[in-house]
Amino acid sequence: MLERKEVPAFALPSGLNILAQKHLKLKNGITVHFVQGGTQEVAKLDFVFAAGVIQSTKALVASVTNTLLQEGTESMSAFEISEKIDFFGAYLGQSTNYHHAQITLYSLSKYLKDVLPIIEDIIKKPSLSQNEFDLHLAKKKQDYMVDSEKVKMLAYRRSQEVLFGTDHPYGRVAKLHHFDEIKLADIKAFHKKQYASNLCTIIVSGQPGDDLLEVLNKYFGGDDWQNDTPDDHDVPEINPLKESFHLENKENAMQSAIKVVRPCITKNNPDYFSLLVLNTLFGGYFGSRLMNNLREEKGLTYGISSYLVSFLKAGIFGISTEVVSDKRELAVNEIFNEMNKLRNETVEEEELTRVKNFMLGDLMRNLDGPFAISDAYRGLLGFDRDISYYTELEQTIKDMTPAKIQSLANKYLVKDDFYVVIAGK
Amino acid sequence: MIEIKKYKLDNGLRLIVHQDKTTPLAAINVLYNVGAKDENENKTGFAHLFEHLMFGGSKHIPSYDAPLQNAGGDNNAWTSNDLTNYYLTVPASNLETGLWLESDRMLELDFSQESLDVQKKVVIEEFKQRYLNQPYGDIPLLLRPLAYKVHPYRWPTIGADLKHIEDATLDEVKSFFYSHYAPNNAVLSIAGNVEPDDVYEKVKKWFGNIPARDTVKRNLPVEPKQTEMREITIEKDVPTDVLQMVFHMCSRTDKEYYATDLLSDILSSGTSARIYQRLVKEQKLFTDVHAYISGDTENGLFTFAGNVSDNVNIYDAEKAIWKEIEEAKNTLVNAYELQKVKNKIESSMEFSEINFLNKAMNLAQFELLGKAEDVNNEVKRYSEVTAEQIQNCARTIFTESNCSKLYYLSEEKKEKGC
Repeated sequence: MLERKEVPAFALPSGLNILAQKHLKLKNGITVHFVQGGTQEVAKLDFVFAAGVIQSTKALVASVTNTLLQEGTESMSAFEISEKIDFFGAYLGQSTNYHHAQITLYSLSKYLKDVLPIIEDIIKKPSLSQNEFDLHLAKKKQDYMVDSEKVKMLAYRRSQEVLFGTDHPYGRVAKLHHFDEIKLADIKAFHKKQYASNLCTIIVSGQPGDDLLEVLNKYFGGDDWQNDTPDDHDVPEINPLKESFHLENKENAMQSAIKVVRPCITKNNPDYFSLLVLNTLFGGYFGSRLMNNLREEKGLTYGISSYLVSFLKAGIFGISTEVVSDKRELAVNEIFNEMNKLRNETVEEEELTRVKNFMLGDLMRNLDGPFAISDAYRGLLGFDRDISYYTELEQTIKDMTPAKIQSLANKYLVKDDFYVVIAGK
Repeated sequence: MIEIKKYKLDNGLRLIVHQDKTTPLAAINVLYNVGAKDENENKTGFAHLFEHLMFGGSKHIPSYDAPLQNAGGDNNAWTSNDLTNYYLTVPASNLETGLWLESDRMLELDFSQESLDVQKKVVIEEFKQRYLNQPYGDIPLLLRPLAYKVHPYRWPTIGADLKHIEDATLDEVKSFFYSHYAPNNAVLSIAGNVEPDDVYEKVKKWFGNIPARDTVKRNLPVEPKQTEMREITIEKDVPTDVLQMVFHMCSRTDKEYYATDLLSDILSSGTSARIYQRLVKEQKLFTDVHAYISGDTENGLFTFAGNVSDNVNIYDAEKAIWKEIEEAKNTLVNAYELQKVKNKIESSMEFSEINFLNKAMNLAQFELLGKAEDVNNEVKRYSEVTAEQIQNCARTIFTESNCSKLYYLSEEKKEKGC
């Protein structure tokens, strides 16, 4: 007779299976991080530049520059670029954050040599034409206005301003008027200053072929695209607002978006790993305290989560949810109640074990395969950490105790340190 | 190429196993052959609400999530008009935890009024969050009933009305389970660092004694052929005009599917594709525009969707789409353009085989459509499509009497007089 009430035997997930990373150098000094592996003949290449929000002086400049790179070069029109990229079945992605901007190429390995010359052209000799600039800005402005109808986005924008101050690059949120103030000359100047070999890091993963270094040197290893811009990531002191409650009014909103946030530590702080465990228990997974209370017991929301974000120079601990408007006070109170519980009551071993095991399994998922590992490395860029980061994290998870959780809660989950930002009616 | 082994249990459960030794993990995917199309028109949203209840505990196991999390696992699920799909990943050594959990909820749910009451509230908040409180979020609620008059595709999976969800009773939940959830109405696929024959033995152990059930025989109403163009205009407090045009097309299993998919790729796959280049970049009529197909198991929809530029009249923008449609009907696609979209398909297939969970999901879906092995024939099916077949598809699908249009207008733009 099958015993269905008994949990079948299981083993604790243990031992991370991290593919080795090679550190290569191009002739001009560019660092290439390379993770080889995978069953498919495909490769992913990230070209990362110190060309983020903090290196720019005006809103929108960093992200618009990054997007416009692939919209035409001195020798190819925007159409010719996309035609070639599409013909070889490749994909070009781009993203900009506070400290970096990157171009990401996904390609079948067999076509890498056909596609890389295009990437070279995009990065070194973009045309940055007025026509493409106008087109892109019109689209971006429309997207911005659509986003401005979303309560979640309104709460996010406000929370960045509240946490860091509107003059700080981390708190400098784009406004509608910025779309009229940005000029093509800003983009050209930013490209010239920040897209140079001395500000570039390349991350390669997958199966790019045996001649990777040779191929990369051919297109990116020359001394034809360096300048004297320092790789500078300094930011001013953060300057949070004084007022702790902020309401963004949004007429006709059926739900309110809630963000409860505080400035917090970065990945360089010794508490960071432990705080990740507390975060998971509190609101970082489906079985968390917040999900159980606000979703599974009270049905106030489709979802609620807490999160820990680390930029290079500052971090955020936050809670985010959308709830029916007339229940938002209850939701905020329950969020603080759950903080209180963690500060005042010791967590049961059983619950902590579940959190630890879930996190260890999650670590395996997040480090599974070459692309995932390259993303993990990417997340460490600028922090002066290597892959031992993840083995240390694994150890911290295993060593966590109920007493440590409680002491961390008393250090970081203090009501007075948090701001409440609400967007809604 | 995805290597598989297939098995079938006496109770009708189909099992597909794919071994991938490069990952330390394993995925279990359980697909139930029931979706929103199987709902009563007065009780829509039920398949999706039911998906939520599947996490409320089963006959012998009070909590689904906790034991899985204990074993380092993670899980989720989604519902479409055609099917309901549950999936989990665990360290491969803990595969049996997943089989234990999935088999118990296939055997019998712990139906509780409390769980139903809470999940009704959660789904109502989901309805608001995703459909009602987002700009343009209600488009599926407007367009589906315009394009379909009798077929159950006329409502989205979230449901046609909040009230249908509010009114759901425990008896209806029970009866839904026994009429649709059964080993003989499911496909189980497992991928990852596992030995296929060992998996088969474990699956027999946990799923073997679940009885086959008399599930409801599907008998969907046939959508009558559309005979004239339909349109609907609404004005809302949104920043910009949006145009959507949908045309009835074939089903996922029809032979014309591949040509139809490539037709949509010719028009809209990648930034080099026709409508993006011509309507966004050259003519500046839209800030963004896409053409895509639904890939539904029953006859689906071919959609054009575009955000109209600020200073452009939506009817002028529409004319430009019709002009592209005329070209697709009158002129054969040239060899280079055809090769380009086929190359993109080949590449996307290659990338889709990187992840073990993705493979498990694809295998289950292909088994439901016909047989799992077909996943490996897709590139060939696409490569055989000719320019003539694509042109024929365009001629069949793109007629005015087969079209339903939604003009989603911005009140603010109208006031400005554009």
